[in-house]
Formats: sequence, C-alpha cells, structure tokens
Amino acid sequence: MIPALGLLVGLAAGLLLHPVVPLVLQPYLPIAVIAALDAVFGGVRAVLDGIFNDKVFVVSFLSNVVVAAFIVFLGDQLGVGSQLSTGVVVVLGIRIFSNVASIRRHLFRA
Amino acid sequence: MSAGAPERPDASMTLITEMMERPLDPGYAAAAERRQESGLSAATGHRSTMLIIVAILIGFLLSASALALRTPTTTASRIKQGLVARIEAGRTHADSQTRLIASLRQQINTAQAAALSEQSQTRLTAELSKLELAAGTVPVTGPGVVLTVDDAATKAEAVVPDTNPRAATGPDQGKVIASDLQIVVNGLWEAGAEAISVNGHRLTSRAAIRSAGAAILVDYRPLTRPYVITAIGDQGSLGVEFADNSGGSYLQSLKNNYKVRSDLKNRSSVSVPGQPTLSLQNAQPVQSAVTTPRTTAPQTKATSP
Repeated sequence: MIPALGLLVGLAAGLLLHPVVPLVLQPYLPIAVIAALDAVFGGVRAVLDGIFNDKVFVVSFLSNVVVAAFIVFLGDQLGVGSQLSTGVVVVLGIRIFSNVASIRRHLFRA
Repeated sequence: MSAGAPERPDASMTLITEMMERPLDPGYAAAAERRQESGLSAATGHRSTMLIIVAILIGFLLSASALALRTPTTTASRIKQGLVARIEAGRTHADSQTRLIASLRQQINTAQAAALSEQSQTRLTAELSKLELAAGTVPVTGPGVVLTVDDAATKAEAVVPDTNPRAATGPDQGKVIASDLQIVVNGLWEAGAEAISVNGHRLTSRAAIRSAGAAILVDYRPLTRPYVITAIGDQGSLGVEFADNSGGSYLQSLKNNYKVRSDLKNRSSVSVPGQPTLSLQNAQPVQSAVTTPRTTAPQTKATSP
C-alpha cells in the first residue's frame, strides 16, 4: 500500500515540478520506463505469489534501468541504437505481459 | 535443457522458452527460499525505506519521461494545427473575396444593362449577354449530360500494356489522370457541348486542366475524385456523338483496360456555374474583330506538365 502511495507521490512530483530532462538522457528515457515497468510488474507478481523481497525489487529495478541504458548507449556507439532499443522493448515487453498474465490469474482467477 | 532428457522439439529456442516460462526474476524465488531456510516468512514487508524511495523514483521517472517525450510531438502538432488553421483562414478569405467579386460583377452587369437600356441600345445589351454566355462568366442551364469518372475500384492489370499511351504513366494504372480528363472534355466539346464544368469549375477560355504531381488541377483549383463533368448540349446528340468520337472511345478503352469507372447520364436540365473572375489584362481586341462576336465554345487548353 505504502509503495503504491509512494508511486503516486512520485508521479505527482514529476507532473508538478516538470523537470527538464537533458537532451543527452532523452534516448534512454523510453527504455528506462519499460525497465521500470518490468520491475514494478515483477514486484507485484511476487507480492501476489507471496515471495516479495524488497531488496530483490530494488536491485532488479536499478539493474534493469542501468543495463537497459547501457544497451542503448552501446547500440548508439555501434550505430544500431534503434535496433537494440527494439530488442530491449521486445524482451521486456514479453516479460511484462507474462507477469501481467500471472497477476491477472491471481486477481481474477481467469 | 539437460542432456539426459529426451530431445525437445524446441531445444534450439531455449532463450525464448526460458523467457516465456520464467518471466519472473529467479531472484525472488531464491530470496524466499533463503528466508524460509533461516526460519522467516517467505515475503518481506512492503515498508522498507528503500522500497518507498524506489517507488517514488519510479513514479517520478514515469511522469518526467512522459512529459519530456511528449513535448516534441505536441510542438509539431501545434505547428501543423497552426498551418491548417492558416490554410483554412486563407481559403475562407479567398472564398469570401470570390463571392464579393461575384456580387460586384452582378452590380456591374445591372449597372451596365441600365446604362445601355437608358441609351436604348438594346442591340448592345443583347450582344453583351450573348458574349457573356459564350465567355462563361455567367451561370447557364439547359439540357445536357452528367459524366462521372472515377478511379478504378481496385488496381487492375493492364490488358494490353504496350499499345497504350498510358503505359508509362506510373504504377497506379487505374487512376484517372489529368490528360484523361483533357481528352474526355475535348471529346465533349467535339460532340457539341456548349458549356462544361468539372466538379463545379467552369471551363472557360482561360481554364486549363493540368496535373500537379498526383493532383488534377482545373483552373488552378485541385479536384477530388470522383470527377463530375457537367456538359450542356443537345440532349439527343451530345451523348451519342461523345460515345462515337475519340473522347468517348478513349474513355471506353480506359474502362475496358484499366477498370476506370465512368457513368454517363442524360439530363433534361443541368446547370453549369459561371466563372465570374474571368478577366483579361493584356489581351486587347483587334479593331476589325470587335463587331464580330465569337460564339463558338472555347477549346480546353491541352497543357501537359
């Protein structure tokens, strides 16, 4: 419950403060968002499975974001940035969807 | 996959299988196992400071990136909207100016008629209205035909691609192009049409049918399909002669080879709008020709891009 409130506080802070993201960081934002969503859905599923662990959640979020940003950075250096971004989005997207499917089974038994 | 197990048909796709079957971080299961071994419950609480900080961070990341990445598209769409608004404003302005011109011309005509009748020059009045009729500055009505030409419903293969002048026009063969309309309209003139309009644009001596890229322009106004050609002429002969002459047979060949749709309807009364903005700046009448009015219908200029 409290983390969900924290999420809302963070959303509201972002909307109100309207931070200016440096142009250099902008290519990493979509990937970071997808990675964060992956961590969030993974965490929610773990909560429902009854095996949630805060340390694992924090570490998985941070490592997801860092690795995703690194892959995009590397792709940019190699000239295949958009392809690698697509790859990251596909992999994390599949994970998000199967986690959501599992959450759905827990919540609605369907 | 272990070596001892019977070979699975998807053995070469272990990466995808792994991803689909175990989407959750194995870390959660491992951590839960460790905690259970040391006598704690499998799950930790949701109240650690670190967790809340990360939750706030994630929320901030979501809204910040949404705002940061949304801005460029809104800027682009704002510019586009501005351009669209300017185009529409310009078009409205042009339309209202055209209407103003029409009403002013109407006033000029009535004033002219009044002036001429005051001087009891009824012959001049009659001649003027005859000239106006022939020049196409006033709307006219009478019996005639309405010819609707439209692109082919689907892309059709050309039956005889080599022997046709349209063979090199481009990949989309079923599309009506400007020269098609030129040939068809010239066929209508040839069949005895006295006044022709295409999609409501009167063909006067200064109106050209030409193409600009993929668009067809009549009198510098772009047309949208279907192309409705209204022609005034003798109801009995206009349709028949058009079907017989080169324009009609060209249209028929378009129909047969490219499935271009066309539909010719005889009407007892059609009306063709006038082109009130017709004005000549540089052309001066030749003195000897002033008294002999040309009453023949104008031929459409066959300009090619």
